[in-house]
Amino acid sequence: MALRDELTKFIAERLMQNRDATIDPGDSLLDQGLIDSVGLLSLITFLESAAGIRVPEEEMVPDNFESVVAIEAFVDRLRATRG
Amino acid sequence: MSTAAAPLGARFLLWHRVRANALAVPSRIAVRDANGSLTYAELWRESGRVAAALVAHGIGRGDRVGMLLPKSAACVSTMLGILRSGAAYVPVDPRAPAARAAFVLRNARVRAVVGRANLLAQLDEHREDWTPDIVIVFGAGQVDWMPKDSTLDWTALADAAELAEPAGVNENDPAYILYTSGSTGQPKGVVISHRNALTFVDWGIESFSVSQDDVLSNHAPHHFDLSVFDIYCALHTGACVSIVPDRLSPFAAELATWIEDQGISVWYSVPTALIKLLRAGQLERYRFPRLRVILFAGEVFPVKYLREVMAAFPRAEFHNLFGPTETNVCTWYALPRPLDESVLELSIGHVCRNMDAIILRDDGGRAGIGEEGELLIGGHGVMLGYWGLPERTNAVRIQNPLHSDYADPVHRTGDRVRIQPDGSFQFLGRRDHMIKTRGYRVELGEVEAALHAHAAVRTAVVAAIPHDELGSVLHAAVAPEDGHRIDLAELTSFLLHRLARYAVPEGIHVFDDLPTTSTGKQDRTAVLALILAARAMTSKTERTDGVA
Repeated sequence: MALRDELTKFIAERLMQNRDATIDPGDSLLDQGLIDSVGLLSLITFLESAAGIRVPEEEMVPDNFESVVAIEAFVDRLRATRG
Repeated sequence: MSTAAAPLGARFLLWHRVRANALAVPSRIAVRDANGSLTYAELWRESGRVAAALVAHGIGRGDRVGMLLPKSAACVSTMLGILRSGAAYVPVDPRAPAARAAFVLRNARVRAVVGRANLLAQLDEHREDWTPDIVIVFGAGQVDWMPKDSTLDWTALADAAELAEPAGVNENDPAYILYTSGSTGQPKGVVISHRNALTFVDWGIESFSVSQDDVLSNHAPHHFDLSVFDIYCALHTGACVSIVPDRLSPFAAELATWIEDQGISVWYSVPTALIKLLRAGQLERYRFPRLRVILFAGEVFPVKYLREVMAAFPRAEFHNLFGPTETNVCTWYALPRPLDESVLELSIGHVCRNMDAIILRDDGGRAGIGEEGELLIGGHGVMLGYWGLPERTNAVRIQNPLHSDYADPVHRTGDRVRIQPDGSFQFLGRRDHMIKTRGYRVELGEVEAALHAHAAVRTAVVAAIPHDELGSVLHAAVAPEDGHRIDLAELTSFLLHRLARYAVPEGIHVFDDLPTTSTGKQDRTAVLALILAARAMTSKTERTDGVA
């Protein structure tokens, strides 16, 4: 499964707790209040295992988690800097 | 700054002083949120619209109104509006699964709900026989399961020309109901009266000298009792309550900037939020000149982190507040500066004004210095009871065991406490299976009941593993029904349909069978050992930083 599909599934199941709503890749996760402290932690754990990255503490900023698109760009950037 | 807030005086309903301040200091800012602010006059007008709409539909004293809203200034005007109608409000966690939210609204038999359309729409498949008389929709969208003529649009509510004080409402009427984890598997509602809340709010205003020059943070969600302090201590004194925006709450560095920018003078949160600020907030960037009081409650604050937090906010006084939702805050401890090196565990201090504390030894006598027992609390802060659960209420509301001269009910907190040489209290633990994780209260029985509801689960035990920064984390041990296989991803998804996210175990461990004691009961100690062993084998995949 591509990261986007896995991520969308994770958000629907874990962050939206299976509510019958859909998330578009550009939708703000933060403005909808979908990422609280517990959610952020589980999202990072998910990304670290699904995308094989490690999220440094200084990267835990809203811009990196704004939307599915933003998270993808963030993951790409982390992968690139790791070389 | 030239006008003074209304004097506190003898006002007996939770909204009376807000009315007084709407007259005394109408142009001062009462509430700020991510989108703007409301002055006292605006807050009064907005809450009046909600009240008038409810009253027009026959809702008032003896009724309940649900709230299913993300945290915002509009939540505060909604609460006040519900109170002004004479009804009690029931704030529901907007992040809870729809099944849980629907249970709360059904259980409280609310006659109206104020909520976001998308959150309200999701209730349909879980609402069973419950249909409110009206819903007030906040924001865009439709609620298909409600008749159109019973659906009001928040933004179109009309101003209340003349809103009469609701007849007959008195200080012993319910003001709000807060639902907490219930050991039998369903949340239970703690009913708080106007008098209960005012006892707490008056204590807070007096103890921390809250005045109209203060800006109080509101970090806790509105279904959580910490928020009662933030909102009402501010609104009763002409001060401002500033609501932490949901979008930056999980990000410590942004949160620190927000505290500075907002000029927060009184901060109140669970310890995990402060620990997170310490670790990732880059606090050295700011001096926080206005921050004068930091309050924390909800769980034990590890002293080693507390020392660091106190050093990071050198100008603030720190207070440890203690008490279950059922009593509001009942004891508190003002931390000395510096905190003596010999202090390893934090005191929970002395009993609050207008409250009474008894430590009852196991043999039924009153504990003295150096002795331990259960903390019993009497006084006006103690709840009216658990909603619709008279037996549960009677199990915790008992006659003061020290005399039978007159009716003197006290509340059994279930907390084990020792009396220190200076007469202050030390918290030792719980006498049941209620635990705290990230400041949230969870009954292990509620999580176990949710696991047992799954067809493949024969038996389940949930354990809280102590955690330095989070208080504790939950792990479950489960054994499958014969002929069933447990799919962990599917079981987790099943739990997420039923439980608040913080109550879903971080790890679920499958065993063929779970150990029992000689009497056939689940052996929690042995199960905990099994979980710890299973967890040690997978610990390298776990990560516990970035807390709260």
